[in-house]
Amino acid sequence: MSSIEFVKLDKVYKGLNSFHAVKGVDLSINDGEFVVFVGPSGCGKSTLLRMIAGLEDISGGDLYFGKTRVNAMAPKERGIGMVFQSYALYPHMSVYDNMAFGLTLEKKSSQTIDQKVREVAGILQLEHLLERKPKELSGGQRQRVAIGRAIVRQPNVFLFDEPLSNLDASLRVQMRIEITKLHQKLKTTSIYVTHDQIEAMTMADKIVVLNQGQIMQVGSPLEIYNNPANTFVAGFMGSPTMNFVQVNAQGSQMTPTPCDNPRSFEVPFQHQGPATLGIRPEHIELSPLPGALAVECQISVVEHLGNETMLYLTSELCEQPLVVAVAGEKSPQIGEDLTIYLPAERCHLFDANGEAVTRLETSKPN
Amino acid sequence: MKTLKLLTGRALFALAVLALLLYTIFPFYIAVATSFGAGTGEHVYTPAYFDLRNYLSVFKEQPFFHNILNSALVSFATVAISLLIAVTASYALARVHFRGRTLLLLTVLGVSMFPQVAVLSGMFELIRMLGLYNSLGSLILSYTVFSLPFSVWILTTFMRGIPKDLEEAAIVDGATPWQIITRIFMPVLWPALVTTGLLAFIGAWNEFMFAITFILSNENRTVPVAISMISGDSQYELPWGPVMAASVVVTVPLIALVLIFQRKIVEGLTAGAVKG
Repeated sequence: MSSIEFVKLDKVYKGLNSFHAVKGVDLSINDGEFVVFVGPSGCGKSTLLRMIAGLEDISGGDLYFGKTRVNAMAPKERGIGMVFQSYALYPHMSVYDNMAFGLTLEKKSSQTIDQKVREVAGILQLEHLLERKPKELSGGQRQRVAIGRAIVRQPNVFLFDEPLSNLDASLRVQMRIEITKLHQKLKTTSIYVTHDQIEAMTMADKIVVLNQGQIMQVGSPLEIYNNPANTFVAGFMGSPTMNFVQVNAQGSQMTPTPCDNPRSFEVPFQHQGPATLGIRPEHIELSPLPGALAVECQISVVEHLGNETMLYLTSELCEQPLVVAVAGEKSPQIGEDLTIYLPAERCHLFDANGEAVTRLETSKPN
Repeated sequence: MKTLKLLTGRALFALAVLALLLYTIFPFYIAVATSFGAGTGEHVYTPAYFDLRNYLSVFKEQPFFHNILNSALVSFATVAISLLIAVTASYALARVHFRGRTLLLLTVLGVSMFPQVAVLSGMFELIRMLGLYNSLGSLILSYTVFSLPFSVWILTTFMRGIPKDLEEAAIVDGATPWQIITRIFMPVLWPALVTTGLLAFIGAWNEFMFAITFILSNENRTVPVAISMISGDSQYELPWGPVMAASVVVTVPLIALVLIFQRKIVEGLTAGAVKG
């Protein structure tokens, strides 16, 4: 078990086109925490994970496990266990040998190895598969073996590199729950990389949102969802993505800029000048609310998801369609006119640089 | 009409197969037939009689058993040494990033383009300098030199096909590069190793030019040279019977090896093309 501290961590790939993959990342991870790195492809999340593992050199900054600086340590000295996206099981070895491999290299007695492997196999329900080869296993079983191989050596830190992205949807949900349960049982510091925001929201104690090699926001899943620090986080987390409206702010009065006949409305923020107003599709209402902004729209696309229905609306508020999530029983028609209501206290405001403007305390609680 | 078309198609196909079989098997048939049923100075299409006289004479009139042992020793040593070097070299070429890697690989390929004749005199000098003239070491050395470029190329290609995750999983498990090669890569590359090893073996087993140049004495000769040295009663006579008998004797082990490993060869040639 150990906490992890990143101090101005840098990664530069040198070469003809040198590429700055990780730019001055500061982060501290507490002992026993389950941290999820999330971000779009190429945001540096995997690179960061591999730097923790010791599979990539650290170009600048310091990495501490507890009080020990591990920059120059080999992966095995760091005491990590890693689960790869492709499982990376040794194809010629049985499940038992796959899990025992690390212990064999440590020259543990065969009795110790046997005991540990069987214990882990028990936790992961792999006892009946121990003699099989990886090719005789299903995707979910392979993934469990890969996890077993990582935990059998009782590492200080678990690293997961998009471990579920090769599984089908239902299995993914099941494995997600299994990994969460396992973490509650073992309480080992875990770092989990994914581009799937649902995995991030459901599994994390702490989410780290990354973009272009920089941390955009660190926080608990609900903090990230309720108070995104900038337009990137606001747009990345949440599905379908948050609606953005360009506005001109004068105090708490907002005037949508692309409108032909501008009218202003009040939101609980104080700001001057151009800004971006954001509201999540699930927070837009179809019935009138006191203090909500009413907008006339026309339905352009209807997506039925079963439990809910997504409406893509054209309005004078903004050029791109507004997305609204409504209950699944409704079946509105394309071309229908509709009035939607944007509750002021559900709005987010971002300044011209995309940074969130602090919400004023209002009498109405969220 | 349709059935007629189908029948002609089948007949033509059968004919083509027959022609192919005839022309690939014919030389071997002649060799076997001659070895069993001909005296000296002739070869036959159908053996007039059937006996093992030619086989006995091969072993009686020269140290042919010794020659086979020499060939086996040289071939196995060549395979062992070139596989060891090729595996370690291809690990570096496929997995370690260093300056000039591509140039080195191209050089390896370039070297393998030279015909044997071009390096014969240079190789001869080298063998003499090392004091290996007229010993089996000379052949092991020269065959290894010639089989290495090919082996390195094949194995580098296969090694590149091994997912990087597999190596990294082993690194995280605490394996050293040597352990990664021996405990992960070599078992995974087993079909490729068998294929390259077998090709190196066949090359060494059948080689003639170096064998006749670097070896002087009868008892150090390898099989191909020994066969060429089988002589008849006069210099105008070619002893077809014994020559063919000797050829059959030394081809049988090769055929056996290929049959044993045949499934592996096919796997080796297609491995990496499909994901495990």
